[in-house]
Amino acid sequence: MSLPTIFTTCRPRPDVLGGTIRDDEFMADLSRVVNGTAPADYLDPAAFFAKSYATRGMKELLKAVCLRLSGKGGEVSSIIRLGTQYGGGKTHSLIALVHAVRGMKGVPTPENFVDPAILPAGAIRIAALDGENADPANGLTLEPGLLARSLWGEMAYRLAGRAGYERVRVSDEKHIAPGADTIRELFGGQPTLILLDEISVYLRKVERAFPDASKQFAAFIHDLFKAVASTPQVALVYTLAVGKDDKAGDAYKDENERAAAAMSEAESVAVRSTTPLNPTEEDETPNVLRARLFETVDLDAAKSVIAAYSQVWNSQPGCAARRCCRPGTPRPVRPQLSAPSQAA
Amino acid sequence: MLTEKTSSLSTFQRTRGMLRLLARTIHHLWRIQPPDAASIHTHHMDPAFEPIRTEINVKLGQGQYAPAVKSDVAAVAGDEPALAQRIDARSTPACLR
Repeated sequence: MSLPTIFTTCRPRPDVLGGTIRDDEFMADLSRVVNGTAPADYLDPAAFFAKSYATRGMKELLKAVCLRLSGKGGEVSSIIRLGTQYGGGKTHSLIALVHAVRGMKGVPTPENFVDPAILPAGAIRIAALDGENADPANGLTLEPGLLARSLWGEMAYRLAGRAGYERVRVSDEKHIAPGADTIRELFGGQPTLILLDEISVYLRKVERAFPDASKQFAAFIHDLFKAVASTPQVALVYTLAVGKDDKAGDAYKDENERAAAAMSEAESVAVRSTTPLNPTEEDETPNVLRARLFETVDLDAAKSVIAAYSQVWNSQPGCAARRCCRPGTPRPVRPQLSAPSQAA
Repeated sequence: MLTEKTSSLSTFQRTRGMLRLLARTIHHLWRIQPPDAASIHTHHMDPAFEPIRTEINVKLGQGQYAPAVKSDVAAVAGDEPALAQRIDARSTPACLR
């Protein structure tokens, strides 16, 4: 019995086939996409979405934010929390969102991801703040001669340019969170999207640079949530790393917990509710992998291969795979580890 | 294996970790084109292939098993074959080599 091999049924993407994927390839950098300095695969909407699978969480995120920005979403969807483990697609979803609110130009089938009718038509103010690029000690270069030391300093500049930064300059230099009304001024009455990613990394740095930083961070989140929830056409999405089995066992455990505490306190006081979303649920992972690794996979051929494997398992009483699949028997090996190579 | 076994490592990052291992596996598989590859199996993640070995030893922090893998599972190409490789060579039917 002869089955087709993967070499005839699947075509890997060229970078996978050639082994030319760089080490940082699966490490998306959000602010570099927003600011236009990321590699082409992330910067070009068509290239980005071609390798993306539309998970339920991603579709929900795009829809909720697009509706909110166009003034139809209501307050409920003003603040969204993306939670998953490291490597679970948080930043990837945020990049998809940035491309969506910028109109998904050149994407051949945008309807796979979001209803094109709700994509924002006009310009959107976007501030993407990620903890990995934040530099509280030296200051992050906004433009030559202009540095931001705090999250709010950077946010003000991204939303309202130089004038925006000048409005909160004292807050930035003294590391005192600005008030909700001042933050609202930065929106300028325009549709605005604010993204907070990898905040735990920012917290670790800023807590060392400024002794009062955790408290000022909590105050900033409080004011920011209040400003966002109370302003139409303004949305905020933040990510929070959750540890495996809800135990935060990662390198930024303490900072993550402090960030989560500040967020949930602000939520309880400043907004009615936030929407939690999971970017990639367990059952969607194979599709995500397939979209990124392969150009095409012959699914009919895959079905016939699976059928042939099952047939071999079921027809051979002595087959180890069948023994450990039978209910009630002890499992010396897990079924997903057994490789019936005799099926070929 | 990717959803249960490797996920128990704190160094393994969900979808990203799977992408990294699978991308290396696919690159290797399409080069050697084993005739029995009707689908991708665990045994195709060959620690004899340097990028996969490095991923396991360095990225996933399992370097303490490197000597055991070398002598029992898969040796570095050019070295004396590991135990499993010698058994495979003895007992694999000719049609699968």
